[in-house]
Amino acid sequence: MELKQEFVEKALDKALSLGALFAVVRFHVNKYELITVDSGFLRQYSYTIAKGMGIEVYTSSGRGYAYTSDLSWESINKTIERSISIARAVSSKKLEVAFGEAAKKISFNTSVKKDPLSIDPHEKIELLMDLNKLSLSHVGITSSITNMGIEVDHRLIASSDGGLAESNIVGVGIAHMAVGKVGLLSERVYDSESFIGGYEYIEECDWESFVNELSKLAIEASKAKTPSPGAYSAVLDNELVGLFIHEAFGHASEGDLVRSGSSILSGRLGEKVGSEQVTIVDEGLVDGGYPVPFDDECTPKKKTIVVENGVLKKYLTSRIVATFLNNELTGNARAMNFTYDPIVRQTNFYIEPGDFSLEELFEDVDYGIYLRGRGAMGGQVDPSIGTFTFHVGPSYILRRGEVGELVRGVIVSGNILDVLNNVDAVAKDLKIRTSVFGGCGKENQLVRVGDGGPHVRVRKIIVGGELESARVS
Amino acid sequence: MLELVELAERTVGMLNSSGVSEAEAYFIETYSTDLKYVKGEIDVIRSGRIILAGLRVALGRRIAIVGGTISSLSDAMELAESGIKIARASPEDPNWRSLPKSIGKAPVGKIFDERIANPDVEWSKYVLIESAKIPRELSSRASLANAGFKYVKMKRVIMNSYADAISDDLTKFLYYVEVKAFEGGSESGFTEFHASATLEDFSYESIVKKATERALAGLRAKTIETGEYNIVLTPKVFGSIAASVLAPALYADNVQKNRSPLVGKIGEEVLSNEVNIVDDGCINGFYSTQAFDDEGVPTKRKNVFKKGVLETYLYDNYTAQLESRESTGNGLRRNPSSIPRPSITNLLIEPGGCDLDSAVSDLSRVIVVYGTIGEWLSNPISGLINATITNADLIESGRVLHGVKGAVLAGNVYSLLKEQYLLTTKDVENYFNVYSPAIAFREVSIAGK
Repeated sequence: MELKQEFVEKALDKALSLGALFAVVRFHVNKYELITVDSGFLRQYSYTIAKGMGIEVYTSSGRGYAYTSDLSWESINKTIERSISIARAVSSKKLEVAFGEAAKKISFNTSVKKDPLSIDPHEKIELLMDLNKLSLSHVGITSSITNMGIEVDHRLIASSDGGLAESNIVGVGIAHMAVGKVGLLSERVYDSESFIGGYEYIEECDWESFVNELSKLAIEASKAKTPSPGAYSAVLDNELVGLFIHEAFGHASEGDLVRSGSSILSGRLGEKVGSEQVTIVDEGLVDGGYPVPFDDECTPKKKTIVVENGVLKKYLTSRIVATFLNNELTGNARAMNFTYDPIVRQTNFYIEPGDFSLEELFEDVDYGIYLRGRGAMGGQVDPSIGTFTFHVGPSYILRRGEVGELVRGVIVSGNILDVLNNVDAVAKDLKIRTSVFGGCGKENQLVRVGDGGPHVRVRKIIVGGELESARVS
Repeated sequence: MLELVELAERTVGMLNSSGVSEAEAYFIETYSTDLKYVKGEIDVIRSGRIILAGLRVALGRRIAIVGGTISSLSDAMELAESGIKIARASPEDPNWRSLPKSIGKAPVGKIFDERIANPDVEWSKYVLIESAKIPRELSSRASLANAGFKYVKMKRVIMNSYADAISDDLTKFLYYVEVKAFEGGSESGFTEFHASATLEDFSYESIVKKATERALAGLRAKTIETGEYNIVLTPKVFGSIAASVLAPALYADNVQKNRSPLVGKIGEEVLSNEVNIVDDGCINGFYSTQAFDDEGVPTKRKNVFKKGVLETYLYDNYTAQLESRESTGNGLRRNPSSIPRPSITNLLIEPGGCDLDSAVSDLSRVIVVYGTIGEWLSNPISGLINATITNADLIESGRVLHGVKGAVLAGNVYSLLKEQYLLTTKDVENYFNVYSPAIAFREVSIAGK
């Protein structure tokens, strides 16, 4: 045990004795190992350990958060005093804290057969060097980067309403970027596979196939044209649906944005926001996702049905947001590390599967596009107006229900409510994934999330291509 | 707890006596205070202090990087031991030459502001409350949704086996507002911010006013037909695009690994001969001005594009040694435990002579873009840009026809800055460390309806 449990109760008592009405104390240790092989050479073997504590206090005057990386009691004591003093400086008009069912004596531990941080560094480097060279052996690949990421995240959280919870989460993964060049055109394709568990997952995965597929895709994409800009019927694959639903809808369902009026979903509980095919949930523990058994305010994270058959049912909340919105606590207050106060974040946010087979989704598309998540660079939404944009991976033109030629540089854009209302078929094939290399960014905080869903068909989505000279018409 | 300089000296001393061939210690102590305003009141104040370390250890050509939070000398010693262990296990990097043999400081102007180092919380609260009044004064349809301050004070110390410790003190400041506008069933929003190293030139009124005007303009926004349009990218919009697409192509590691379209183009006229771009890490008072980079190399001013001709890439110590040349003082770390890589310090795009209004009136039909999303997803390897327009005006003969939203702008940054380049305006704003004027381009592809 690296985190000092004896400080937890002492810290809460200290905060309450100084006038806090409510307090949450969080001790956090995060270890991260990153190994990078760049075009045949080991470029980085780095190891980072970050540890510290933060305390969130509610006083009659307001809410304060203070933190320190010094875990001596003297420093913790000063940090608690500072949290009270800055909370008193807030002078808010109204402050109540939402109480729900606190996470009591929850202990969540990832099942690990082989501790990834204890594996001989030679073994990890050798695997990455082999994979990187395999990618470079493909004619047309000019550059490649292969990473291994290992994360051990340990949190101990206690709240003054009796909550006490601890988690130890271990994740491993490999990421690869292949840069292909054919003639004057270059294209990069990036993807990663991550697992919650130990090094046994690295040993069991077929990484050679993973790297070969990415390398071939980068070369094919370098030869491909870009699609003509305009409106398309589209089928979105599991990965892209995950990215889309997280970015385009998930952020707008976060209660802090609803509270400030910065979400297009503000004031729309009970309204139809999508077609009847669409049911969307946020769930803390789900196969393939990132485990969030409780949030950073010591609230258990359960399954939250956000949209049911197209109707908006709930927003995601933290304690302060649940108070202001007069909504229930959903366990979505999360912080990147101890230097940040928890804000409303998604956990594993996904579309529930429907009844369609994949073939049924394709067969009704006369002319359209099969939008793929592999190689997608990400997306962004302006939740206040509902406009989103995604850089999609190499994708395929659809003609009369058949998958046609590859296209590259595909950007999709639109309004989230328009797109959700245009969903006319949802497949059965639910897949959810996470990553130890990235996550979701908001207010400069990056947290691990899971996302995914089944294949989904959308009747109209805007596609922006790149260069007129390289278009498919 | 030891002072940072002594911490660095003890850590490098321990590594040197442990038989490593080279060692580098980099420490940052950060104090930060944030205030967040949400719809009518201060939501939370956050404050804290953290010390982060990054150690680089070389055993011959076997290199390791370790880092983390530090609360005592023993934390630094544990990190150093981890570094030795990892270096022993690492294969040789045949490209490794050495850490910088000499480190030092460039003369810089004002990079520390006592008002940021010791923020006045009461004044900050006053500004946030006053900020909330401005949208309402301008229109009953507008209101302040979110706002906030971030104050950061940093002390950096670096030393290595070849040189004594050097240090500097920096401050950073951020103020942001998000204004929403409603009219009937229509709604719109706009976020504006001010990021700087000092509080000089900070005026919250003009920032809130601009955000309010753009949020109100967004109420009239419509989609447009797909086609080619003359466009003006306002300073922060182009600044973000330049940071995402142009800057990475200048980094020597991307050039050396064939991940840049600028490979082999030194001395070529890559951009219009009216375009001048400089990287300057020691310019007085700019956002990322600092006396030395994250390897201890003094920062300096470099012409990157002069009259459109590419004059230099940006180098850290490692990439410079590969080409037997000097680092350009651009070795920066994403965080203290990351390896230093070439990055821009302050990227300055030279302004032109006209103001935005006269530039727009000279173009018969033009879209002036004030806000985009997704521009950071553009591709620096190919130079291809894609950005979704969230706030813009369609202007004909100097008259605003209507706002524009939901259209996707596409192009190649090198084509935009050469064949499609029209002009730059005289007013410069910064998107963090990219300082840009507004820039006009001809016949840019826009995907709309």
